[in-house]
Amino acid sequence: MKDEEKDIELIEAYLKGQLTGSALQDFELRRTSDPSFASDVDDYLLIMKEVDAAGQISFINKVKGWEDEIASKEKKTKVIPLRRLLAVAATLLLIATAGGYIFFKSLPAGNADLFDQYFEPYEDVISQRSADVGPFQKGMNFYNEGKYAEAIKHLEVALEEDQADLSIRCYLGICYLATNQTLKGKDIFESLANSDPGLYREIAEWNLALAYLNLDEIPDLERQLNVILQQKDHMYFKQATDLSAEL
Amino acid sequence: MTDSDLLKEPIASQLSRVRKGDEQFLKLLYESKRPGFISWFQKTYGMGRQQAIELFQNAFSAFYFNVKDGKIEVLKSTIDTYIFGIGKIMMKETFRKENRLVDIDELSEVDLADYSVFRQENEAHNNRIVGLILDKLEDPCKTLLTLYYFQNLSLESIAESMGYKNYGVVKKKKCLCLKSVRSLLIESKLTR
Repeated sequence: MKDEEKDIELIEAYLKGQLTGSALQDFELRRTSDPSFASDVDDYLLIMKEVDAAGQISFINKVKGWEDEIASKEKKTKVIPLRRLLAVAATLLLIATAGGYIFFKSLPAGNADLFDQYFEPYEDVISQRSADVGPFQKGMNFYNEGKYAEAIKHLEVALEEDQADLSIRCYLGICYLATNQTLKGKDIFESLANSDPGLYREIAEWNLALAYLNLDEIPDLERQLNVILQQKDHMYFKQATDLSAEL
Repeated sequence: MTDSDLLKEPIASQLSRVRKGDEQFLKLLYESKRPGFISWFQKTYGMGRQQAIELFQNAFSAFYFNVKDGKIEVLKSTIDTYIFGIGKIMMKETFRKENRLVDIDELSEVDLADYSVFRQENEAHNNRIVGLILDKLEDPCKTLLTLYYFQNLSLESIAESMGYKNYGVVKKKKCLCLKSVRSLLIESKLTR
Protein backbone atom coordinates (compact mmCIF):
# COMPACT_ATOMS: atom_id res chain seq x y z
CA MET A 1 0.00 0.00 0.00
CA LYS A 2 2.64 2.45 1.11
CA ASP A 3 4.95 1.38 -1.73
CA GLU A 4 2.26 2.00 -4.32
CA GLU A 5 1.68 5.50 -2.94
CA LYS A 6 5.38 6.18 -3.20
CA ASP A 7 5.40 4.86 -6.74
CA ILE A 8 2.50 7.15 -7.65
CA GLU A 9 4.47 10.12 -6.33
CA LEU A 10 7.45 8.97 -8.36
CA ILE A 11 5.35 8.68 -11.51
CA GLU A 12 3.91 12.15 -10.92
CA ALA A 13 7.40 13.57 -10.55
CA TYR A 14 8.41 11.83 -13.78
CA LEU A 15 5.37 13.22 -15.61
CA LYS A 16 6.13 16.74 -14.41
CA GLY A 17 9.78 16.43 -15.46
CA GLN A 18 10.95 16.75 -11.87
CA LEU A 19 13.17 13.67 -11.97
CA THR A 20 16.72 14.43 -12.99
CA GLY A 21 20.14 12.81 -12.94
CA SER A 22 20.43 9.52 -11.09
CA ALA A 23 16.78 9.61 -9.96
CA LEU A 24 15.67 9.67 -13.59
CA GLN A 25 18.14 6.93 -14.56
CA ASP A 26 16.91 4.72 -11.68
CA PHE A 27 13.32 5.31 -12.72
CA GLU A 28 13.96 4.37 -16.33
CA LEU A 29 16.06 1.35 -15.39
CA ARG A 30 13.35 0.07 -13.08
CA ARG A 31 10.73 0.67 -15.76
CA THR A 32 12.60 -1.53 -18.22
CA SER A 33 13.57 -4.27 -15.76
CA ASP A 34 10.42 -4.53 -13.63
CA PRO A 35 7.30 -5.43 -15.70
CA SER A 36 4.96 -4.80 -12.78
CA PHE A 37 6.37 -1.31 -12.24
CA ALA A 38 6.28 -0.69 -16.00
CA SER A 39 2.60 -1.57 -16.02
CA ASP A 40 1.96 0.78 -13.06
CA VAL A 41 3.79 3.58 -14.85
CA ASP A 42 1.89 3.07 -18.12
CA ASP A 43 -1.50 2.98 -16.43
CA TYR A 44 -0.99 5.89 -14.06
CA LEU A 45 0.61 8.08 -16.72
CA LEU A 46 -2.37 7.36 -18.95
CA ILE A 47 -4.82 8.23 -16.18
CA MET A 48 -3.02 11.44 -15.20
CA LYS A 49 -2.79 12.60 -18.80
CA GLU A 50 -6.42 11.73 -19.41
CA VAL A 51 -7.56 13.74 -16.40
CA ASP A 52 -5.72 16.72 -17.90
CA ALA A 53 -7.20 16.05 -21.35
CA ALA A 54 -10.70 15.73 -19.89
CA GLY A 55 -10.17 19.07 -18.14
CA GLN A 56 -9.15 20.65 -21.44
CA ILE A 57 -12.20 19.32 -23.23
CA SER A 58 -14.40 20.48 -20.40
CA PHE A 59 -12.90 23.99 -20.63
CA ILE A 60 -13.30 24.11 -24.41
CA ASN A 61 -16.96 23.16 -23.99
CA LYS A 62 -17.32 25.85 -21.34
CA VAL A 63 -15.95 28.42 -23.79
CA LYS A 64 -18.43 27.21 -26.41
CA GLY A 65 -21.17 27.73 -23.83
CA TRP A 66 -20.02 31.33 -23.28
CA GLU A 67 -20.04 31.83 -27.03
CA ASP A 68 -23.61 30.52 -27.27
CA GLU A 69 -24.64 32.96 -24.52
CA ILE A 70 -23.04 35.86 -26.38
CA ALA A 71 -24.66 34.80 -29.65
CA SER A 72 -28.11 34.70 -28.08
CA LYS A 73 -27.56 38.12 -26.45
CA GLU A 74 -26.39 39.52 -29.78
CA LYS A 75 -29.56 38.29 -31.42
CA LYS A 76 -31.65 40.08 -28.81
CA THR A 77 -29.74 43.36 -28.83
CA LYS A 78 -28.23 43.52 -32.25
CA VAL A 79 -26.53 46.80 -33.03
CA ILE A 80 -26.71 47.83 -36.66
CA PRO A 81 -23.09 48.07 -37.78
CA LEU A 82 -22.09 51.57 -38.73
CA ARG A 83 -20.52 50.25 -41.89
CA ARG A 84 -23.90 49.05 -43.11
CA LEU A 85 -25.47 52.46 -42.41
CA LEU A 86 -22.63 54.16 -44.22
CA ALA A 87 -22.98 51.81 -47.16
CA VAL A 88 -26.67 52.69 -47.51
CA ALA A 89 -25.93 56.39 -47.11
CA ALA A 90 -23.14 56.20 -49.65
CA THR A 91 -25.38 54.43 -52.15
CA LEU A 92 -28.09 57.10 -51.79
CA LEU A 93 -25.50 59.83 -52.09
CA LEU A 94 -24.04 58.24 -55.17
CA ILE A 95 -27.43 58.06 -56.86
CA ALA A 96 -28.22 61.66 -55.91
CA THR A 97 -24.92 63.09 -57.04
CA ALA A 98 -23.95 60.88 -59.93
CA GLY A 99 -23.69 63.86 -62.27
CA GLY A 100 -21.68 65.92 -59.83
CA TYR A 101 -19.34 63.03 -59.16
CA ILE A 102 -18.23 62.92 -62.80
CA PHE A 103 -17.48 66.64 -62.68
CA PHE A 104 -15.57 66.59 -59.38
CA LYS A 105 -13.63 63.46 -60.28
CA SER A 106 -11.82 65.39 -62.94
CA LEU A 107 -10.48 67.93 -60.42
CA PRO A 108 -7.24 67.31 -58.52
CA ALA A 109 -7.92 66.07 -54.99
CA GLY A 110 -6.84 68.37 -52.12
CA ASN A 111 -5.88 67.10 -48.68
CA ALA A 112 -9.40 67.65 -47.34
CA ASP A 113 -10.79 65.62 -50.21
CA LEU A 114 -8.28 62.87 -49.61
CA PHE A 115 -9.19 62.90 -45.94
CA ASP A 116 -12.88 62.51 -46.78
CA GLN A 117 -12.02 59.76 -49.21
CA TYR A 118 -10.01 57.74 -46.70
CA PHE A 119 -11.61 58.57 -43.38
CA GLU A 120 -14.02 55.91 -42.24
CA PRO A 121 -15.14 55.75 -38.60
CA TYR A 122 -14.12 52.35 -37.28
CA GLU A 123 -17.07 50.07 -36.68
CA ASP A 124 -18.40 49.59 -33.19
CA VAL A 125 -16.86 46.38 -31.89
CA ILE A 126 -17.68 47.21 -28.29
CA SER A 127 -21.45 47.37 -27.88
CA GLN A 128 -22.88 44.09 -26.79
CA ARG A 129 -25.64 44.85 -24.36
CA SER A 130 -28.26 47.54 -24.57
CA ALA A 131 -28.85 47.21 -20.80
CA ASP A 132 -25.62 49.08 -20.06
CA VAL A 133 -26.53 52.77 -19.90
CA GLY A 134 -23.21 54.20 -18.74
CA PRO A 135 -21.72 57.21 -20.54
CA PHE A 136 -19.55 55.00 -22.75
CA GLN A 137 -22.50 53.00 -24.04
CA LYS A 138 -24.58 56.16 -24.47
CA GLY A 139 -21.74 57.64 -26.49
CA MET A 140 -21.48 54.49 -28.58
CA ASN A 141 -25.21 54.53 -29.25
CA PHE A 142 -24.86 58.01 -30.77
CA TYR A 143 -21.69 56.87 -32.54
CA ASN A 144 -23.62 54.08 -34.21
CA GLU A 145 -26.24 56.57 -35.34
CA GLY A 146 -23.53 58.76 -36.88
CA LYS A 147 -24.22 61.53 -34.32
CA TYR A 148 -20.61 62.16 -33.49
CA ALA A 149 -21.06 65.52 -31.77
CA GLU A 150 -23.54 63.93 -29.35
CA ALA A 151 -21.28 60.93 -28.94
CA ILE A 152 -18.39 63.21 -27.93
CA LYS A 153 -20.32 64.64 -24.95
CA HIS A 154 -20.80 61.18 -23.45
CA LEU A 155 -17.43 59.75 -24.43
CA GLU A 156 -15.65 62.70 -22.79
CA VAL A 157 -17.49 61.91 -19.54
CA ALA A 158 -16.60 58.23 -19.91
CA LEU A 159 -12.96 59.14 -20.47
CA GLU A 160 -12.90 61.28 -17.33
CA GLU A 161 -14.13 58.26 -15.39
CA ASP A 162 -11.63 55.92 -16.97
CA GLN A 163 -8.54 57.54 -18.43
CA ALA A 164 -6.84 54.23 -19.13
CA ASP A 165 -9.53 52.69 -21.33
CA LEU A 166 -8.10 52.50 -24.83
CA SER A 167 -11.45 51.88 -26.49
CA ILE A 168 -12.99 55.10 -25.12
CA ARG A 169 -10.00 57.12 -26.28
CA CYS A 170 -10.05 55.48 -29.66
CA TYR A 171 -13.73 56.10 -30.41
CA LEU A 172 -13.54 59.63 -28.98
CA GLY A 173 -10.60 60.36 -31.27
CA ILE A 174 -12.59 59.12 -34.26
CA CYS A 175 -15.50 61.36 -33.25
CA TYR A 176 -13.16 64.36 -33.12
CA LEU A 177 -11.94 63.60 -36.63
CA ALA A 178 -15.50 63.09 -37.85
CA THR A 179 -16.54 66.52 -36.48
CA ASN A 180 -13.49 68.31 -37.86
CA GLN A 181 -11.88 68.77 -34.44
CA THR A 182 -8.70 67.41 -35.92
CA LEU A 183 -6.23 68.81 -33.38
CA LYS A 184 -8.05 67.11 -30.53
CA GLY A 185 -8.16 63.90 -32.53
CA LYS A 186 -4.47 64.17 -33.28
CA ASP A 187 -3.63 64.53 -29.57
CA ILE A 188 -5.57 61.40 -28.71
CA PHE A 189 -4.15 59.30 -31.51
CA GLU A 190 -0.59 60.43 -30.87
CA SER A 191 -0.73 58.93 -27.39
CA LEU A 192 -2.76 55.89 -28.46
CA ALA A 193 -0.27 55.12 -31.22
CA ASN A 194 2.30 54.53 -28.50
CA SER A 195 0.16 52.01 -26.63
CA ASP A 196 0.83 48.27 -26.65
CA PRO A 197 0.49 46.51 -30.00
CA GLY A 198 -3.06 45.55 -30.79
CA LEU A 199 -6.28 46.68 -32.39
CA TYR A 200 -6.47 50.19 -30.92
CA ARG A 201 -2.86 50.97 -31.67
CA GLU A 202 -3.35 50.06 -35.32
CA ILE A 203 -6.53 52.13 -35.56
CA ALA A 204 -4.67 55.02 -33.91
CA GLU A 205 -1.70 54.76 -36.27
CA TRP A 206 -3.96 55.08 -39.29
CA ASN A 207 -6.19 57.82 -37.90
CA LEU A 208 -3.14 59.78 -36.80
CA ALA A 209 -1.95 59.70 -40.40
CA LEU A 210 -5.35 61.02 -41.49
CA ALA A 211 -5.19 63.76 -38.87
CA TYR A 212 -1.80 64.85 -40.24
CA LEU A 213 -3.30 64.76 -43.73
CA ASN A 214 -6.21 66.98 -42.74
CA LEU A 215 -3.85 69.39 -41.01
CA ASP A 216 -1.51 69.53 -44.02
CA GLU A 217 1.35 68.26 -41.87
CA ILE A 218 2.88 66.36 -44.75
CA PRO A 219 6.28 65.33 -43.28
CA ASP A 220 4.48 63.87 -40.23
CA LEU A 221 1.97 62.21 -42.53
CA GLU A 222 4.72 60.56 -44.58
CA ARG A 223 6.52 59.39 -41.46
CA GLN A 224 3.29 57.98 -40.06
CA LEU A 225 2.44 56.17 -43.28
CA ASN A 226 5.89 54.62 -43.22
CA VAL A 227 5.20 53.31 -39.72
CA ILE A 228 2.18 51.47 -41.12
CA LEU A 229 3.89 50.35 -44.31
CA GLN A 230 6.60 48.67 -42.28
CA GLN A 231 3.96 46.36 -40.78
CA LYS A 232 2.78 44.09 -43.56
CA ASP A 233 -0.01 42.63 -41.46
CA HIS A 234 -1.22 46.05 -40.34
CA MET A 235 -4.98 46.24 -40.78
CA TYR A 236 -4.62 49.54 -42.70
CA PHE A 237 -1.65 48.47 -44.81
CA LYS A 238 -3.60 48.64 -48.07
CA GLN A 239 -5.13 52.03 -47.32
CA ALA A 240 -1.72 53.38 -46.33
CA THR A 241 -0.24 52.05 -49.57
CA ASP A 242 -3.00 53.67 -51.65
CA LEU A 243 -2.79 56.99 -49.83
CA SER A 244 0.97 57.01 -50.08
CA ALA A 245 0.67 56.58 -53.86
CA GLU A 246 -1.70 59.52 -54.12
CA LEU A 247 0.57 62.00 -52.31
CA MET B 1 -14.99 45.04 -7.08
CA THR B 2 -16.75 45.63 -10.42
CA ASP B 3 -16.00 43.77 -13.65
CA SER B 4 -14.32 46.84 -15.03
CA ASP B 5 -12.07 47.09 -11.94
CA LEU B 6 -11.00 43.47 -12.33
CA LEU B 7 -9.86 44.10 -15.89
CA LYS B 8 -7.82 47.09 -14.73
CA GLU B 9 -5.81 45.07 -12.22
CA PRO B 10 -2.09 44.66 -12.98
CA ILE B 11 -1.36 41.88 -15.48
CA ALA B 12 0.29 39.76 -12.77
CA SER B 13 -2.92 39.78 -10.71
CA GLN B 14 -5.00 38.96 -13.76
CA LEU B 15 -2.70 36.05 -14.63
CA SER B 16 -2.96 34.84 -11.05
CA ARG B 17 -6.75 34.73 -11.35
CA VAL B 18 -6.44 32.82 -14.63
CA ARG B 19 -3.95 30.39 -13.07
CA LYS B 20 -6.37 29.66 -10.24
CA GLY B 21 -9.10 28.94 -12.78
CA ASP B 22 -11.31 31.82 -11.57
CA GLU B 23 -14.22 31.07 -13.89
CA GLN B 24 -16.01 34.38 -13.42
CA PHE B 25 -12.85 36.26 -14.32
CA LEU B 26 -12.07 33.96 -17.27
CA LYS B 27 -15.52 34.60 -18.70
CA LEU B 28 -15.12 38.33 -18.20
CA LEU B 29 -11.75 38.23 -19.91
CA TYR B 30 -13.21 36.19 -22.76
CA GLU B 31 -16.03 38.68 -23.31
CA SER B 32 -13.73 41.69 -23.13
CA LYS B 33 -11.10 40.40 -25.57
CA ARG B 34 -13.52 38.84 -28.04
CA PRO B 35 -14.87 41.80 -30.08
CA GLY B 36 -11.48 43.34 -30.85
CA PHE B 37 -9.94 40.00 -31.76
CA ILE B 38 -12.73 38.93 -34.09
CA SER B 39 -12.94 42.29 -35.79
CA TRP B 40 -9.19 42.56 -36.26
CA PHE B 41 -8.81 39.08 -37.76
CA GLN B 42 -11.80 39.60 -40.02
CA LYS B 43 -10.50 42.91 -41.30
CA THR B 44 -6.86 42.00 -41.53
CA TYR B 45 -7.05 38.53 -43.00
CA GLY B 46 -10.48 38.60 -44.63
CA MET B 47 -11.74 35.78 -42.45
CA GLY B 48 -15.41 34.93 -42.11
CA ARG B 49 -16.96 35.92 -38.79
CA GLN B 50 -17.59 32.34 -37.72
CA GLN B 51 -14.04 31.37 -38.58
CA ALA B 52 -12.72 34.31 -36.55
CA ILE B 53 -14.92 33.33 -33.60
CA GLU B 54 -13.59 29.77 -33.68
CA LEU B 55 -10.05 31.07 -33.90
CA PHE B 56 -10.66 33.23 -30.84
CA GLN B 57 -12.10 30.29 -28.89
CA ASN B 58 -9.01 28.24 -29.67
CA ALA B 59 -6.56 31.05 -28.97
CA PHE B 60 -8.26 31.91 -25.68
CA SER B 61 -8.30 28.25 -24.58
CA ALA B 62 -4.63 27.87 -25.47
CA PHE B 63 -3.87 31.03 -23.48
CA TYR B 64 -5.64 29.57 -20.44
CA PHE B 65 -3.90 26.19 -20.75
CA ASN B 66 -0.50 27.84 -21.01
CA VAL B 67 -1.14 29.97 -17.94
CA LYS B 68 -2.51 27.18 -15.78
CA ASP B 69 0.31 24.85 -16.83
CA GLY B 70 2.86 27.44 -15.75
CA LYS B 71 4.18 27.98 -19.27
CA ILE B 72 3.50 31.68 -18.79
CA GLU B 73 4.68 33.06 -15.48
CA VAL B 74 4.87 36.69 -16.57
CA LEU B 75 3.97 38.56 -19.73
CA LYS B 76 6.25 41.09 -21.35
CA SER B 77 3.29 42.49 -23.25
CA THR B 78 -0.46 42.60 -22.59
CA ILE B 79 -2.90 39.70 -22.47
CA ASP B 80 -4.45 41.05 -25.69
CA THR B 81 -1.12 40.93 -27.47
CA TYR B 82 -0.52 37.40 -26.28
CA ILE B 83 -3.91 36.11 -27.43
CA PHE B 84 -3.55 37.95 -30.75
CA GLY B 85 -0.12 36.32 -31.11
CA ILE B 86 -1.49 32.84 -30.55
CA GLY B 87 -4.30 33.61 -33.00
CA LYS B 88 -1.82 34.70 -35.66
CA ILE B 89 0.24 31.54 -35.25
CA MET B 90 -2.80 29.27 -35.29
CA MET B 91 -4.09 31.02 -38.38
CA LYS B 92 -0.71 30.75 -40.06
CA GLU B 93 -0.74 27.00 -39.48
CA THR B 94 -4.26 26.72 -40.85
CA PHE B 95 -3.29 28.67 -43.95
CA ARG B 96 -0.19 26.51 -44.36
CA LYS B 97 -2.35 23.39 -44.24
CA GLU B 98 -4.61 24.94 -46.85
CA ASN B 99 -1.54 25.82 -48.94
CA ARG B 100 -2.33 29.51 -48.63
CA LEU B 101 0.62 31.82 -48.40
CA VAL B 102 0.53 34.54 -45.81
CA ASP B 103 3.23 36.90 -44.72
CA ILE B 104 3.18 37.47 -40.99
CA ASP B 105 5.78 39.33 -38.99
CA GLU B 106 7.86 37.51 -36.46
CA LEU B 107 6.26 37.99 -33.07
CA SER B 108 9.49 38.91 -31.38
CA GLU B 109 7.93 40.90 -28.55
CA VAL B 110 5.49 38.22 -27.65
CA ASP B 111 6.51 35.37 -25.45
CA LEU B 112 4.11 32.81 -26.78
CA ALA B 113 5.28 29.82 -24.73
CA ASP B 114 3.52 27.20 -26.79
CA TYR B 115 0.08 26.01 -27.64
CA SER B 116 1.01 22.45 -28.55
CA VAL B 117 -1.43 21.22 -25.95
CA PHE B 118 -4.17 22.18 -28.37
CA ARG B 119 -2.75 20.09 -31.17
CA GLN B 120 -2.56 17.14 -28.82
CA GLU B 121 -6.26 17.31 -28.17
CA ASN B 122 -7.05 14.65 -30.74
CA GLU B 123 -4.31 12.36 -29.48
CA ALA B 124 -5.77 12.61 -26.00
CA HIS B 125 -9.10 11.45 -27.37
CA ASN B 126 -7.50 8.19 -28.41
CA ASN B 127 -7.45 6.95 -24.85
CA ARG B 128 -11.15 6.35 -24.86
CA ILE B 129 -11.22 3.77 -22.12
CA VAL B 130 -9.83 6.01 -19.43
CA GLY B 131 -11.91 8.86 -20.84
CA LEU B 132 -15.08 6.86 -20.39
CA ILE B 133 -14.10 5.85 -16.87
CA LEU B 134 -13.39 9.46 -15.96
CA ASP B 135 -16.71 10.54 -17.47
CA LYS B 136 -18.49 8.26 -15.06
CA LEU B 137 -16.28 9.08 -12.10
CA GLU B 138 -18.16 10.74 -9.27
CA ASP B 139 -17.21 13.35 -6.70
CA PRO B 140 -15.16 13.88 -4.68
CA CYS B 141 -12.69 11.92 -6.87
CA LYS B 142 -13.63 13.72 -10.07
CA THR B 143 -13.17 17.20 -8.61
CA LEU B 144 -10.08 16.26 -6.67
CA LEU B 145 -8.27 14.73 -9.63
CA THR B 146 -9.29 17.61 -11.90
CA LEU B 147 -8.07 20.22 -9.44
CA TYR B 148 -4.78 18.42 -9.01
CA TYR B 149 -3.92 17.18 -12.50
CA PHE B 150 -5.70 19.73 -14.69
CA GLN B 151 -5.74 22.94 -12.69
CA ASN B 152 -2.41 22.10 -11.05
CA LEU B 153 -3.58 23.27 -7.63
CA SER B 154 -1.47 22.33 -4.63
CA LEU B 155 -2.66 19.74 -2.13
CA GLU B 156 -2.98 22.56 0.44
CA SER B 157 -5.22 24.62 -1.87
CA ILE B 158 -7.36 21.59 -2.63
CA ALA B 159 -7.70 20.81 1.09
CA GLU B 160 -8.88 24.38 1.63
CA SER B 161 -11.30 24.52 -1.29
CA MET B 162 -12.77 21.04 -0.75
CA GLY B 163 -12.92 21.29 3.03
CA TYR B 164 -10.46 18.54 3.90
CA LYS B 165 -8.64 18.68 7.21
CA ASN B 166 -5.16 19.03 5.74
CA TYR B 167 -3.07 18.28 2.67
CA GLY B 168 -2.20 14.80 4.00
CA VAL B 169 -5.82 13.78 3.81
CA VAL B 170 -6.02 15.05 0.23
CA LYS B 171 -2.87 13.16 -0.69
CA LYS B 172 -4.30 9.95 0.68
CA LYS B 173 -7.64 10.53 -1.00
CA LYS B 174 -5.96 11.29 -4.33
CA CYS B 175 -4.11 7.98 -4.16
CA LEU B 176 -7.32 6.08 -3.47
CA CYS B 177 -9.06 7.82 -6.37
CA LEU B 178 -6.23 6.97 -8.77
CA LYS B 179 -6.26 3.37 -7.64
CA SER B 180 -10.00 3.05 -8.12
CA VAL B 181 -9.72 4.46 -11.66
CA ARG B 182 -6.91 2.03 -12.36
CA SER B 183 -8.93 -0.93 -11.07
CA LEU B 184 -11.70 -0.02 -13.50
CA LEU B 185 -9.12 0.31 -16.26
CA ILE B 186 -7.69 -3.13 -15.56
CA GLU B 187 -11.20 -4.55 -15.36
CA SER B 188 -12.17 -3.15 -18.72
CA LYS B 189 -8.93 -4.39 -20.27
CA LEU B 190 -9.76 -7.90 -19.05
CA THR B 191 -13.30 -7.85 -20.40
CA ARG B 192 -12.26 -6.65 -23.85
